[in-house]
Amino acid sequence: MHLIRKASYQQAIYWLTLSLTVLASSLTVSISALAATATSEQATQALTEAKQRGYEIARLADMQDLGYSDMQVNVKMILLDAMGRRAERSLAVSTLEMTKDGDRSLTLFLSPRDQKGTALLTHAHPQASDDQWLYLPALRRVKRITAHDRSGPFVGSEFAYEDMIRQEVDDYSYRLLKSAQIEGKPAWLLERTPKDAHSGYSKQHVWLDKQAYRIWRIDFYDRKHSLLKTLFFEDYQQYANAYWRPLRSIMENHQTGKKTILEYSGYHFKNGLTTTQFSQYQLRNQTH
Amino acid sequence: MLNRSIVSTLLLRVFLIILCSVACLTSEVSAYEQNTLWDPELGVELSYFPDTGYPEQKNSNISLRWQLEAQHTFTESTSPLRLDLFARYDAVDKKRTHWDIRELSWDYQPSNIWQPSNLWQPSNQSQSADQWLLRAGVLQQFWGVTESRHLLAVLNQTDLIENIDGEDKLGQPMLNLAYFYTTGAINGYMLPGFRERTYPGRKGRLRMPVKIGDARYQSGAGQKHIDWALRWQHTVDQLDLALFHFHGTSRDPWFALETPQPTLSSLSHNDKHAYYSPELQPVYDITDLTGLEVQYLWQNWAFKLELLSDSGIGQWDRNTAVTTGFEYTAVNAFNTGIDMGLLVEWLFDDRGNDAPIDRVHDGWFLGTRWTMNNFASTQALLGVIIDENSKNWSLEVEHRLAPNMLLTIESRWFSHQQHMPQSGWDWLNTLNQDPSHKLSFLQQEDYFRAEISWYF
Repeated sequence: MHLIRKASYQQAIYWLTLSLTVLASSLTVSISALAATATSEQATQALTEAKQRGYEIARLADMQDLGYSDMQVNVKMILLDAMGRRAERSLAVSTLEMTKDGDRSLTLFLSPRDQKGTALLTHAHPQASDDQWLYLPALRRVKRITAHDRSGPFVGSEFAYEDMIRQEVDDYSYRLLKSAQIEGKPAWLLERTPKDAHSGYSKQHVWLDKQAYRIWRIDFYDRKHSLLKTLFFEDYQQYANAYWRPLRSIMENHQTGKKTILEYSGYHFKNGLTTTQFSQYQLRNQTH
Repeated sequence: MLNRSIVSTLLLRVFLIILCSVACLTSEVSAYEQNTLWDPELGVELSYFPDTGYPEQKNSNISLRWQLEAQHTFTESTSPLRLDLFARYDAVDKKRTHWDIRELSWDYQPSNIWQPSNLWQPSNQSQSADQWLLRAGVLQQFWGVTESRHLLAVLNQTDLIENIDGEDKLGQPMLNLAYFYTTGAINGYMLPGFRERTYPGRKGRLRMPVKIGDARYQSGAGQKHIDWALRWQHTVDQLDLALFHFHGTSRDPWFALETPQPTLSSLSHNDKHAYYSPELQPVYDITDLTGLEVQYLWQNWAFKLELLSDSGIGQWDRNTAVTTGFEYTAVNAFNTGIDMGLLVEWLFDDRGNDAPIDRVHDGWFLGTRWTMNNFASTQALLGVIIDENSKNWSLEVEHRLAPNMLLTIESRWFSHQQHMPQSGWDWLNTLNQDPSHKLSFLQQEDYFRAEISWYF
């Protein structure tokens, strides 16, 4: 009897200990699980916030240009390879602001002379593939070309077609990485991910100053997530009392050692350009 | 010869009239800022034909090309006067030494400031895209989308002596009224004056084995018949459509065989007479052409269709020709920065073997285009047109040697299963039995041509 009782007592303690242990461990598990949920929730919240903030900054940056109406600029393109060889092209670029659609741009080739008169017209569409036409002066032919894949190089430079056209806010999704300093100015570092599956980039890191939302530097990462190129913007000037534009931009390819420099001159805003100058049907008339 | 001089005189007259008016206007509007831009260009061309041709033909040739593009702006608000002059000197072929006003034109675009819609719609987007344009002068108008042949480029005469690919065209006097709307355009053309197709002379290569005689016309007005054309083009998203109708003198001639009465001298059998006795006279009939042009873009693909219906010239009744196919472009192929294109086109003419000499009646074009995206902007296009009797290869390469110097290389090889005609008569006799032999003479005309162009 006593033995039994003792045994049952011991058994009771054993069971109690066991159950307590199980309870405690399960509690620990559930508590840690709870804690984990809490941290992941916090992280998700932080990410959403970073995304929202990133998008907001990109939208604000885009809004700095609102109402620019149209712009004309001459561009000297200097191509340099790793051996130090050099080639030059000169272009005249016109851009038309569109409110209900992506902006339109017309690039006229002025040199080299064998390409003089060639024109490239782009109608950007924020949610769809762009439309693009090429005017070939030798055949006097307007050729509509596929603008589906924008990752290819622009006339042998380190700029891809997708780098040359005006960026639309909704071409990317954004994330604010941190506040940083660039050129001695307080700045944001944004990560933007192209929505276009045919973009040559997995992501881009963009530095913009907080004062006027000017982009000073972009790091481009290739599809394998390694650093491909860096684009620097220099000598920002303000035009028409509103719009900041750089006088130079330099694209460096880290993988090939090649470099392309764009030198801008003769910025003109609000020239009264209309859709006529950017019509594919009248492209031939615009090449003078 | 007579007709040629009429055209030259006509062109010269147009040219002088416009020059005079330029001079007058220049003196009148000198208060405005004016400027003239000159872009001259000189090309030195060397050709080599590995196979020996007919007597008097040479295996190699040197030729100079001079081209001048100029534009003169009178006032900032009007469009400039544009000029494109072309001249060639050929060391061997007298006929290839020729000049042409490729373009000399002036645009008039009425400003749409007076349109009432602008008063209450200041934004450029809401402004009506409807626009008129009047263009006058000597012009070139290219229509078409395909690569292997250009069925629909019917307004300008082909400068065949420049290149057998049909991409060089002669200037055509015309008056063009255009109406543009947001997603399309309508163009009307009035075309006074006719240009004859250019053919190589006796010593020139890439010619038919028979002499080309003087041109004849179906219309009593001859070269003065006034032609007209109307074209409508429209875009629906990724689809481009164009439809045109042309009425007038066909730019494509048919050939009438002229056999001069045998005289004592022509009965002697020397090579010169083997070439001179029979003669083909180009006959330019009045015709109606209706053309359809379609292009659809999908991802990296461009699908193309050209269809031309001709009411018939010479012996032919209404007939139809088609070129259709696609171009696929691999951007940044194999991650090399090179753009690589693949072209496939089907060429058809419902006249079968009776189709004119420059029409493949049922064949395929396969081609590949390489854009190297390098400093020298190197480009290459290799293609072959295959039909039941022949394979005609072509290679075109462009490479910039210096900022103002361009190298162009062009080569064609013709491989035919048919026998090479020994003379004009031989060719004509064979054609009588089997018209599919019409291009058999090309097999000794393989060539390699390089041109260096300087831009000043």
